[in-house]
Amino acid sequence: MSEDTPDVQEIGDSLQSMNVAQDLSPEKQKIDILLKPTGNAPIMKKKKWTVDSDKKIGWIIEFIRKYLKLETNEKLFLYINQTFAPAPDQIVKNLYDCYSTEGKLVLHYCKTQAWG
Amino acid sequence: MENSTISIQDFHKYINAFLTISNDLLDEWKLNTIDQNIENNKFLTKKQVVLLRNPADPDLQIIATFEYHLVYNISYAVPVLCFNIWRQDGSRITLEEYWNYNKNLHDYNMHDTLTQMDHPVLNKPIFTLHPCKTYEILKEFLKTSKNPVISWLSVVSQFVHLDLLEEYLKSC
Repeated sequence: MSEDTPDVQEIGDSLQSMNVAQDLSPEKQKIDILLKPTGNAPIMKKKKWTVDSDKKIGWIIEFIRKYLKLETNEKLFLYINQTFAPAPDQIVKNLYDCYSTEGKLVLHYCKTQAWG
Repeated sequence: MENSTISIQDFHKYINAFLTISNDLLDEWKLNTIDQNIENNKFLTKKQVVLLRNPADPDLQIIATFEYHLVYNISYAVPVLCFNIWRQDGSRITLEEYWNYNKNLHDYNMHDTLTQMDHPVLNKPIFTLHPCKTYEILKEFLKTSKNPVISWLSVVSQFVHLDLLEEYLKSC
């Protein structure tokens, strides 16, 4: 990374003073997630992942779809506690705050066609 | 085999639990009961107004009134989500029109996913999400969820502009 130019620095400072700057910590917060298959979903070699806390559920779904190389007509759903599907625009951090166990957010993934 | 499917009695029990939460939240789901002599005589409905944006052209918008129906389908032994949509002037929005305004379903073939079918209780035409694979979604919840109908609804509702409040999800 190159050094900030004075202008950028100034904008950064003013953002901070307006309290709209991002997290105070220099690094983004990361969240541990554990992916478990359910139903006939294939197993992933790597189950534990670390994601940025501001990522959306839809992003994780896309990631798993690519990882498992799913066909376009196969739909992938993520479930919390094996009981409900969070909305794709839900942010991982919110779910972690509500539903994490032992420092991890457990997400079950399920592959289905969903419709006829 | 116990818990292998949802019976109509189970469905009535689950939608009653759903209705209790809705009443507490003033979420405006209504229970409709028709002729007591018919077994499949109960379903839930909710009306809501949604601003539909065309994903291809953000300037194209419709203010649409949805009427959602949560009904039991005896043939498939699963719940189905049906709905009709109107414009503000009362005219119907057609299936093709709605399809163009729905970006969540664009990976699918329309006639495999959403078509106008007979309402399982009222026998009137209504847009219906196809029930043939519903069981595949539902069966994962039968052992784990306290209310598989809400669990299943949390999966499908987000595709058709119906959002569920978190209180429903907490109950399952």
